[in-house]
Order: sequence, then structure tokens, then C-alpha cells
Amino acid sequence: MPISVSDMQPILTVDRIEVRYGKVVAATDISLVIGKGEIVTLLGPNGAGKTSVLKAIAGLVAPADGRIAFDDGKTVHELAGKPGHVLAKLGIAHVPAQNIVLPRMTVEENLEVGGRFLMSDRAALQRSVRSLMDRFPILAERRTQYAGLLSGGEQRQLAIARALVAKPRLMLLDEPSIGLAPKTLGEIFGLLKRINREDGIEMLLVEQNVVKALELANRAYVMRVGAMDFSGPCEDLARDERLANAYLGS
Amino acid sequence: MAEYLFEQFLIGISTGAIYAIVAIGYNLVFGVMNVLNLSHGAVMMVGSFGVLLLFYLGIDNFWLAVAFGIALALVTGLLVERIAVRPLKGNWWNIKVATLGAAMFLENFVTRLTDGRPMPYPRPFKPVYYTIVGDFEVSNVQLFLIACSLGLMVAMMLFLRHTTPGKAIRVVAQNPDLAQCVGVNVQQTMVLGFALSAALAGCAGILNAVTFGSTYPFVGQFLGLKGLVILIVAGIGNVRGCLIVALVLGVLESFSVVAGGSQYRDLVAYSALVLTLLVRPHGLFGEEGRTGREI
Ligand SMILES: Nc1ncnc2c1ncn2[C@@H]1O[C@H](COP(=O)(O)OP(=O)(O)OP(=O)(O)O)[C@@H](O)[C@H]1O
Ligand SMILES: [Mg+2]
Repeated sequence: MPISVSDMQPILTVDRIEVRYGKVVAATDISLVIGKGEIVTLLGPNGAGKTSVLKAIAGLVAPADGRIAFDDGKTVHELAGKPGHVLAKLGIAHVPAQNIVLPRMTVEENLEVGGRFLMSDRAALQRSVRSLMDRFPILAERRTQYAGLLSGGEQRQLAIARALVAKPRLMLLDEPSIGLAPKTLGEIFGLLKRINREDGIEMLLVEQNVVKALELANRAYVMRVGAMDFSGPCEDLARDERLANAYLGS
Repeated sequence: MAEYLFEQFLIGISTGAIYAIVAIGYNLVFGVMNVLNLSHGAVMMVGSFGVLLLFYLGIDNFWLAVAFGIALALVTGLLVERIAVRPLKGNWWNIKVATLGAAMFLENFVTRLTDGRPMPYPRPFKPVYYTIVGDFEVSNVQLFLIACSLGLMVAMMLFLRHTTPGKAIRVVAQNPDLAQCVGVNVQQTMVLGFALSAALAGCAGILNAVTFGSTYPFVGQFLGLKGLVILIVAGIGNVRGCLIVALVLGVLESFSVVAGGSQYRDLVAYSALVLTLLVRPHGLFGEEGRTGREI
């Protein structure tokens, strides 16, 4: 479905990509854009291919077809086929859905690793780690604990904080609400909103918690299995009865 | 008698420290690539013969020869990675067979070149014996070897803990996808892990040859197997555990030789393996669910 992006300055343009694992096609003909300052959510049923699309954008799988363009404000970079560590250096931070911390490292070491390979200024890295511990008090409290021993919600916070250490341009978040109690969920999503507003970091958010995702995001895309089914502002999606019934559980 | 026991204890520490270097070499490759490199022993052998090669070429400098031996082991290890590991794309069984093949090739190649006889080995310097008490003596060579092995181990642990490439190795070992997300070049880090492992193998091969005063083309089979036993008893993925288990095993072996003769040496090692696995299937320092993807 074509969308009007003429009035939008896209920082990320995904153009008709296909993601496959060998013979398995996980997603095909996927296009989406993220405009300056936006939070965009990508919804859809289990197995639709959301995680695969996110992985393709993060460089963890190379798309079999299509192009991905990323505008960092100075140059437009072609991302498709570049390995993940190169994209991380361009400012794309990916927080996967599972195995999100380094279990045999302490909380502080995990944060430090978030910038160690991306920032050359060691003092700035230390400052960034400290300011994130102020933002996430639970991490300061658990500073010297092995990250593998944190609770699920604490690990989620650590992973988000780690992604922020090197001051990324774009954050890709795969189901950040998994395992969060309602109160923590509210806090984390509030924090994401603030990070988006204050730090100007755009976000692509894959979510199962549709209500929360639509609250947070400016626009939504909905995938059916393997392909795109809807794109538009969140209010329109909430009003669309067919989609609401099909995927969103009323 | 006490002097004799102490002497055996020192020999045990000295062989144990060499075992530890071998086990950590396995651990590095296991950690970053999640594969078992069965050419590890053969690369040790190549390192020990590299030293002899330089002497054979007429360069009569022990330290230069050691540097050459380590470099030769490193290059051999990198070749194995390029030819027998990388093309197989992480296929666990294929890599085991391919690296075993590489080991056989190397061992038989060196056998061809040397007729397979044990070769006498040079010493770093003229041994001087110090009398400690009564009949008990230690040589400066012996102390030097122990210092080298333990120093290498400590240096390795500090490297993994505190340097940027060391951290990259630990991050890749714990989660290669996450490593990419934080900007680690995973491919490069795997090669680095392999290179370090091969260089350590070279060191172990040379230290072992100096200790026994000789080397032979199949020396890596015995050393490599000991390293594997330690890796499994300690629990895969644990560097400090490897050091402890290796030292204990070295001393245990040494004392079992005193008690029963040299035929008891391996009996002790493999009994320790079986007993440990009966009591703790994940190794002494291992945890359930850990596969070596962690250092
Ligand atoms: N590594 C892989 N190898 C082979 N097939 C895969 C792989 N990863 C995902 N798939 C397949 O691709 C399809 C899409 O998977 P994906 O994880 O992208 O879906 P998803 O939308 O994120 O689902 P969920 O909501 O359950 O997380 C599925 O059919 C899945 O089985
Ligand atoms: Mg998913």
C-alpha cells in the first residue's frame, strides 16, 4: 500500500526487501520508512516475519533482495548486505528479543561493552555509562552483579541502556515489553518516549503489546505472514475493524 | 623421601602448567567459534619443531628460534582455520573430522622430514642446580619453565579481562549476534581467537620439549588429549578452572608415578575424568547449559 512520505524526511527507507533463511522465506516485499523524530511500530501475528525484518535492518541477516537506505544527516548509506558491526558504527542500535545481555559480565561491564567498540574517547564512555546509571537506578544498584543473574525486567532495562551508551541515531527494539510487569512497562515506555523526544533518537518498535505500542508510536505497520498488510497513523489502525479483528484481538 | 616428594611436586606443577596452556588454547577456539579444534596438538608439535628448524638452518640463537617456532605455530593455526574450519561454516562434526585430518597431515609430514625419531632439544641456558635442603635440588631451567607457563596464563587472563580485543573475544564467546550489535567484528575476532590459540599451542609445544629435552612428531597427541581431559573436567568455557584442574592433575600424575610407576600416570588422568563426569556432568566449574559459548 503506498504511503505519502512526501512531507516526511526519512532517516530509514526499507524498499521491498525479502528475508530468507535458505529456502524458507520469512518476509517478502517489505517496505517501510521512518521519518525524522518518529517512533514507528511494526505489528503482526507470530511468525509474520517481524523479527526477521528487524534483523535485516540491523545487519544480522543479509536481505535476499531489495534495498535499505539510512540517512545519518550527512550521507545516505546503503545498508543491505553490510555486517552488523558496521551498521552499529553508523549509529543503528539493535535490542533483540531474547538473549539480550552478556550473562558472564557484570552490569557495569555490559554497559561499558555498549560503547567500548564504538567510541574512541574512553572518558566520554565512562561519562555515558555513569549518566545511564542515573537514568536507570536499578542498574546502579546492581552494578557489580552478573547480568545473567538479573531478573527479566532488569535485563531488559540493561539491554536498552546498553544500546544507548554510544548515542545511536536509530534504535531497533524487538518486543521490549516481554517479561515486564505493568508498572515497569509503563516506566520503560515512558523512558523510550523521553529518549525519543529529548535525545532525538528515532525508533522502530516490534511489539505484541498492541495497545502500548500504539500509544507510544506515531505510525504503525502491520505484517501478515511474510508480507505487509497495513501502514498508516496509529489512530487509523485502531479504527480499522478488519485488522483489529484479524491481528489485534479486537 | 621428603625431598623426593617435593621434587615430584615441582615436576607436577611444571607439567600441569603446560597442560593448562593447552587446555586454554582449546577453550579460546571453543569459546569464539563453538568448535573443537582437533589439530591443536599437531600445532604444538609444529611449534616445537619450528625451533629445531631454525637451528637446522644454521641460526644458533635459542630465543630467535623460540620466536620462530611460535610464529610457525601461529601461521599453521591460521592456515588450519582458513582451510579446515572457515569453509565448513560452523558444522560441528565436519570441523572435527577436517581438523583431525589437518593434524594427521602435519604429523605425517613432519615424520617424513625427520624420520620420526625423537629429536634432542636445546636448552635456553646452561642448567645450574641449587641445593635447597639435603638432597633436594632445583635447576634454574626448571624454575624458568614454571615461571614462563604461569606467566603466560596470567597474561592471558589479564588480556581477556582488560584489553579491547580480549573483551571482544569474551563478548563473541557469550553471544555472537549481540557482539555485532555492539560493534564487534565477529569474523576478525574469531581469527584472533584462533591465532592466539595457535600461538599458545606453539608455546606449550616448546615448553614441553624443553622440559623433556626432546620432541617427536606425535608428541601433540598425548599433550592434546591431556588438554581435552582438563577442558572437560574443568567445565568447558572456564579459563580459571582450567588452570586449577591442570595444576592438580599435573601434581596428581607426578605422585602416582612415585607410588606406582609411570604406567599409572594416564590411569590417574582418565580416572579423574570419569569420576568427575559421574559426579558433575558439566565439569567441576561448569554450569548446566553452558556449551563453551562463554569464556
Ligand atoms: N534462523 C532461522 N532459520 C530458519 N527459519 C527461520 C529462522 N528465523 C525465523 N525463521 C522463520 O521465519 C519466519 C518468520 O520468523 P520471525 O521470527 O521473523 O517472526 P516474528 O514475526 O518475529 O514472530 P514472533 O512474533 O513469534 O516473534 C518463521 O516462519 C520462522 O520459522
Ligand atoms: Mg519475533
